[in-house]
Amino acid sequence: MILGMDIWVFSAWIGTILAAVLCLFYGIYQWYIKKSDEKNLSERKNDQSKKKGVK
Amino acid sequence: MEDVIFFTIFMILFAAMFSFLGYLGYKKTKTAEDYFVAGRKMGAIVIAFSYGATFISAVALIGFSGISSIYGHSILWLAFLNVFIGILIAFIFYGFRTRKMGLSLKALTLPELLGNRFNSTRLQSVSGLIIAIFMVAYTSAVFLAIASLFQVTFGISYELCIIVFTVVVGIYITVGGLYAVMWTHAVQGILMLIGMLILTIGIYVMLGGIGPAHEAAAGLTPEILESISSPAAIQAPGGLTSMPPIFSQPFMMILTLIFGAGIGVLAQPQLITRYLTAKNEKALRMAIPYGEIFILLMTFTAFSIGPLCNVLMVNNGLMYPGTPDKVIPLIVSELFPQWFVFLFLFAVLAAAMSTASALFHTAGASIGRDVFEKGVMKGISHEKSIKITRIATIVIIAATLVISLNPLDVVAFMSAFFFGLMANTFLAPYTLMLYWKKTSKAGAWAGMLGGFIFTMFWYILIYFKTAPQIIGSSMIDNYLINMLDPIFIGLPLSFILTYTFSVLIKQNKDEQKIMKKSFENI
Repeated sequence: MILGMDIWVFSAWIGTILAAVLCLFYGIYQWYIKKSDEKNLSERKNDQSKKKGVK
Repeated sequence: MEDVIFFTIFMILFAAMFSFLGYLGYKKTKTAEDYFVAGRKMGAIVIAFSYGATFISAVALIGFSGISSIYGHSILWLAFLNVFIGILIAFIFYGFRTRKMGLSLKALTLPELLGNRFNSTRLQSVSGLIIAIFMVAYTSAVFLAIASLFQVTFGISYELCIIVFTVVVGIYITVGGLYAVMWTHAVQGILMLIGMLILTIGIYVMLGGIGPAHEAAAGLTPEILESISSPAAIQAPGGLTSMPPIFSQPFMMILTLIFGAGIGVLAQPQLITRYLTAKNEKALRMAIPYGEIFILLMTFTAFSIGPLCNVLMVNNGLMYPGTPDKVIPLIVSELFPQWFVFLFLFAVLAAAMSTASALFHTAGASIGRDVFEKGVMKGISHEKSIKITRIATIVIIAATLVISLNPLDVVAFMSAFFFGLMANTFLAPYTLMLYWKKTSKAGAWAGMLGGFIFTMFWYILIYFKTAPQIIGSSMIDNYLINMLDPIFIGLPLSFILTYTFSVLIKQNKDEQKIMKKSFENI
């Protein structure tokens, strides 16, 4: 028994919490990491277009 | 008398707030796109709350908590599927593609998406008709449950409750379209969250925290459960916090509940509409964590506290009420302060109203746009399109009102069919349409009709809950078969039929052209 639940019920209990945490991480990844990736990408594009402009 | 005054004041406030949101929606609704998919301008939080509030009805809050008081915590597997499949898989594997394909094909409803993808207005009309007919029955069942609850609590007549709820919801949907529906969902969702959070925390605090509460539930022997007349004495043979023995009757019941509702969610037309409302893909991506928090706080809490109600009944000398639907109302009315009883009732009312408004809107759109505009009165203007859908929505609301005031047995069966029927009818053609470019019109028809006919046949002749009430007894006496949700057989069958007929009767040139167009943004 874990927290008063048998292993199968505990798996469902912890599985639900882990699935929720996964969704949260997905949101954080989308918000911060992807955002900075997109920012880097747009900065790189700006740099490239500036260089092209100089040439 | 005080109760009735409180009910009246709160109902007037509810009606005024929702009517105001309906008015704002009306001001914003200029085109058919505005009315059907809120102008495709919705952000992450509104999408998440609207998806959650549509998904979680009063049945899930009250009904499933009650069911978990009988079968124990094993029903938490449904909470896992609700979060994992109902949110994560649904948005990532269905939401993004549905939105993109909807944009490419200019589709505003699920039937329209199917119809445009397979170049068949007939497919659209038939899908719309199936959705509308069964949705009316489902909506009346939602109202029936909530009106009965209010009748018991406030002593107000059932008929008056039904009329008030239907008219309030009807006004803001018909006037404000999906804008009003989604904005009211945000308000209703907050009320639901507050209600469920206080209820869950209150119950765990009464029982000394998570560990002690679950240990107390595990310690309830069949004899103790029998002393309060709890059906859990028989239905949870291994205890309230253990899985029942594999292939036992309670195990089959849990299996049916978990997979029927857990997977069926992927093909619910009223939920699919939410994907089409997103202003961009980022809004859908960000709706995942918000939606997950909402669903977690609704289902995980509801299914966790159900079994604990048995402990509370034993500790407080209460007897198990006649049906599982009355378990949570009993605990709330006996063990919580009066202010919370009112708050919780209105949280449940918010859950019922949010689901009903989404169903009314989808059913109205199915009849107005999919059946009449595209099937009967082709080529009409946008203004006329909205007008026809508004009239169709009023007709749907009136039909629901009449059915709710005169509930027939057939309506109860049809509402029980709803989840499984939608999944077995639409999930296969919808999934293959999004992922397999060779899916043809013939395949979509075969999968859709095959799934529909099989499910009706299963519910009428075999399924243990519905068949005995329709034909007297199930045609198959073995509970391992008659307790199976039709999704276990109907869904694979529908996939096989869609695939086989797509291979046998291939796409014609027109279909190929549309297929290329539908995948151009994916």
